[in-house]
Amino acid sequence: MPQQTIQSGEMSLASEEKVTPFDDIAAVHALYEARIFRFLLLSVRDRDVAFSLTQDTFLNAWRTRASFRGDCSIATWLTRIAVNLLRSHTRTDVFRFWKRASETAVDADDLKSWLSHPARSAESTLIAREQLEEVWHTVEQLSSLQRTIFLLRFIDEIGLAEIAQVMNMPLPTVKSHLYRALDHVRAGHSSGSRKRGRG
Amino acid sequence: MNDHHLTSEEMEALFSDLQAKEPQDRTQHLEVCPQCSAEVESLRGTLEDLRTAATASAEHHRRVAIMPVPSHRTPRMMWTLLAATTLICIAVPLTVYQRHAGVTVVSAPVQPPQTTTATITDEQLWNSIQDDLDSSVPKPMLPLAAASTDSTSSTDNTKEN
Repeated sequence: MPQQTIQSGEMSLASEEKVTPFDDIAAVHALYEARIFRFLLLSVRDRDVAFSLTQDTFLNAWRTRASFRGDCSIATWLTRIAVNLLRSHTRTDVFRFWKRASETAVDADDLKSWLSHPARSAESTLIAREQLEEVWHTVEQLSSLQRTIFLLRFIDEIGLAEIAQVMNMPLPTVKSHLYRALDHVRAGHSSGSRKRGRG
Repeated sequence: MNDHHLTSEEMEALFSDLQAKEPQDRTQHLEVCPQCSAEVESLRGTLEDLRTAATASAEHHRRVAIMPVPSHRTPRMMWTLLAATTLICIAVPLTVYQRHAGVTVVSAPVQPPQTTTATITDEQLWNSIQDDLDSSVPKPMLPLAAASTDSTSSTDNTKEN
């Protein structure tokens, strides 16, 4: 009789445990790893650090899966964890040194080499590469908040409301950061275009 | 509305997926303002290029990070070769030293015959000294013909002379 009571207790506990999408962490990892890694790579601009932070993101997602209530998408939840890890990582002074010293750093030249030019002339490809380099240099000079929001909006193509969820910020604050970032990018882009016009 | 150029907010709204819902005043402004129109087109293209390049680059770096190039093989091979060379450098002198040590041990019993030959030579030396003392002329000063003959007979001849 006591055994039956224990078994029934275990059954009730198991039924009380929520089933979250993060229980199958392998499937979640397979679906979202590329996206999270891309965001982290462009944010820290270092392959090894980005890969390490990506693994930490999924590990944290699995550990805290019980607190996932389903009020946001899996991608939003993962990106929020990634942003938090990114914040704690970029606070350290070690990051400031290693982001310059690392051999696995991603720069504008690396991005330019991946620029596809399917039906472009040589001149337009050259101009596109120059514009890409200018925009990337401007993005690098943005504050960390502005850069994160800019990347989430224009690289990951996340909506403003979702970015507000990810960043745990009010929507107007997110908009303010994004528009300031876009101001900088526009200014850099326009000055580059003017230089090319003179040349 | 057409007097000022597009703000970043308006431009972001143009870039977003809500293009179908974009207000008419913005599109009208783009139609009459070639500067804003060119900027929107150029920036939209550049952001699209950035997204494409970033995605391709990130995919490449992800593959490299997952399956790193086996660059550790060369150092490992070097360490193996270094260890092998060190072992050879230690083993070869040790082997040679042990061989030499073995020869001295084996050649030790051969020494008694050498001692007998040494006593014989001592006796011969003693005899020759005795002969030299007995003779009036030292043996090295004798003529070659006399020196080639027996030493005892030569001493007798000198005595007779």
